[in-house]
Amino acid sequence: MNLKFTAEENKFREEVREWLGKNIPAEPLPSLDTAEGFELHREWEKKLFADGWSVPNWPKEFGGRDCSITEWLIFEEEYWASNAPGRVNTNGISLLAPTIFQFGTDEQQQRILPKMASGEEIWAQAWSEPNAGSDLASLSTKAIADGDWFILNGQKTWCSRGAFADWLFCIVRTDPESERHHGLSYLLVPADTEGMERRVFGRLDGRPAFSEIFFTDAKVHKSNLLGEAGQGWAVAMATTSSERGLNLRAPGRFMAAADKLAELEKELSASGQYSKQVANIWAKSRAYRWVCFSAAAKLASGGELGSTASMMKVFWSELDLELCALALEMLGDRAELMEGSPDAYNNSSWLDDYLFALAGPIYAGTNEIQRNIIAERVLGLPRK
Amino acid sequence: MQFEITSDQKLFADTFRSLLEAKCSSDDVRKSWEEGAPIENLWHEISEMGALSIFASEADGGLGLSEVEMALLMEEAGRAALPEPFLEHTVAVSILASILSPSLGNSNSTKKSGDKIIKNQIAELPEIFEKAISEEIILSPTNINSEYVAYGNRADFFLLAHRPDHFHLLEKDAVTLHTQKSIDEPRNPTKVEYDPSKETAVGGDPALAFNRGAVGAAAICLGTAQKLLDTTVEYVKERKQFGTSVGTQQAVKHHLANVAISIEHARPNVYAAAWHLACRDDLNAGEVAGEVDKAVSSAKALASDAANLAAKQALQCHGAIAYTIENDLNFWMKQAWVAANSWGNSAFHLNRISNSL
Repeated sequence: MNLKFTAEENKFREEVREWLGKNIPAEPLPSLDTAEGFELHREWEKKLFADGWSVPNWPKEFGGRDCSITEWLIFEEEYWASNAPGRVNTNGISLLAPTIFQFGTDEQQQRILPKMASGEEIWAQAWSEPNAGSDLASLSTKAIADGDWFILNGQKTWCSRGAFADWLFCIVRTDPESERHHGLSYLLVPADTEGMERRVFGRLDGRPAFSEIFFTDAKVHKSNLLGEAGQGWAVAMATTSSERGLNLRAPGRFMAAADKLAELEKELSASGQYSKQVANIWAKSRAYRWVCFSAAAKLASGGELGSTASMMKVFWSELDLELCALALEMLGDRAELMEGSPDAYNNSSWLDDYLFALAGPIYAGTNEIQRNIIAERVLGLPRK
Repeated sequence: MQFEITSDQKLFADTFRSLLEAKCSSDDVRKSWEEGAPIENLWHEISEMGALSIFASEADGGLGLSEVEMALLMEEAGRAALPEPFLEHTVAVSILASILSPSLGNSNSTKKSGDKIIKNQIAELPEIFEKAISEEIILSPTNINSEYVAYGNRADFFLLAHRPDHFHLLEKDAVTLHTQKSIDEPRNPTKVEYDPSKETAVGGDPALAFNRGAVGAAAICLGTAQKLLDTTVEYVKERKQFGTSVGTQQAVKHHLANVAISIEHARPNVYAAAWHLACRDDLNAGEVAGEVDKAVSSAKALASDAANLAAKQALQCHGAIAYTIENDLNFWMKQAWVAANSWGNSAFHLNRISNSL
């Protein structure tokens, strides 16, 4: 056990810090869930990519730097501490890419990954349906093979980034007679597919962050099938482990937020009434850091996170919510002020973060589902 | 950055676990509690394993190990509800080891006045130290956060943190003991009345000793919490109500999932804190001094919370059967409450973090 960073890791950190210091936009970008903000964030992705920082942990041939998981965690620490813009292609990079690395053909990897890394193609996840949320296996969108094509009919919803994304990654039913986990396939769908329509609707913050997707005889080429037809559930589950574990939310994000919370307390609260809560959140953000470095060591020696990813997901999502809620409490009667209000604190960034954090316990499998998984697969409690 | 318990460290902890499984079963613990006597021969077996001398250098006949190994052993002690002054003695040995070989201790604390004080006592110290690592005598320290010495009834010598900057060493015949009765039966918290003098002062670093004790207690919290969780998982699988096992109920599952999350997110922090302590001299002292305290405090705060949550949910998921001294669970619940509250509870450590943020 040696928690000292190596000279190489320190050099890597320096390099990241230096690059961010020189390149971060002087003014914060508008929300990536607006039309203007989306494109500005795409530009930022291109800038990151140009210098090899958009996907540092990917192989070089796809635009990465082949850096270790530890270095990636360092990258994330520096990234979030520097107030850099949010990442508009997180769903692609963190959720889809690991699946493409695992299941994609050479052709798919060559075609998809470099454009994902550069921000040229931005991805949205389209898994949920009006009647298939936590119970994802009850999904009913059909994709029937017809020569070189799949013909899609059905509806997806809660598609984050769906309003402006270039591509969707979907789970569809390719065997119309099948039930539950059987007969599903993992299909990549271009957003300009004929027969596909999107209805954009406002998220809790009012921004057009969500969309519903309607497929009416939409034709998708079979080269966009990821993994075997009928094996979609297994392919999808490989993604959910990334989604819940450290891939989606590195500790750097919460460490930076906890540091900001401590600063906020210093600025706003002289009485010390929030001190213990702030310290507790700070401690939890560091605890998550150690959990992730420990997980990184496990992964580096060939281990797997498996269902412990579910514990991490509950932990970070509840930490995030607790953190943002406490910030709003400190802001008192300014907490409610929206972006653009003259008195809004830091352009209402804490309110934005809070609204975003509220989704954490719901997406990527609700925390209730995660607790079931922990109880059944980690603790071995009986299902029924 | 290499966050991995080595195979040697794991083997050491596993050996200790096997020893405790064999010699410190819940029946043994019950007998010890009921009779108010130590488990026969157990302290000797622990000594044979070298576990009393982890902080003594190999040259001094010890194992020359660090806080990381200490944490791993304390976790096992917690899992077994070991009714012995193991943490207290280990911390006390580490204090003497630091005094005798300052390079082992915190270089910051070896003040000039401390050196002068040490000279008065140094003739006897090596002998006491040797006896302490070979089970002949038991040492117990106070800590800067408590008026009481745990297991004061068992100690032959006391290391008393008279002021924040040094300890006094006194034999039990030279002090007056006021032993209290604890809910965690074998602990016997004891107030020690003594007359500090130049002759009794030995130096040492109470702040370092406190951090060691806090990491050790955090590890005891982890082991205790894990044992409470494991026992409860087994119980709710077996226990049937409404014609099905209680463990199929989501309300029960979610209580226990929360305990698991809490333990799994405290454990790496405890190991990290132990590592920070072990490497405090390697790390740049000026820059890292505060970091060591913060790592220790977040470890103890989160481990204390995990232990308290585990005790609460273990009782709740067992129901009335655990609300009795006839069920063995009570040993671990009581140990959880007390370990969570000793060497600084969650509130103490959160305050300490808050002051350095």
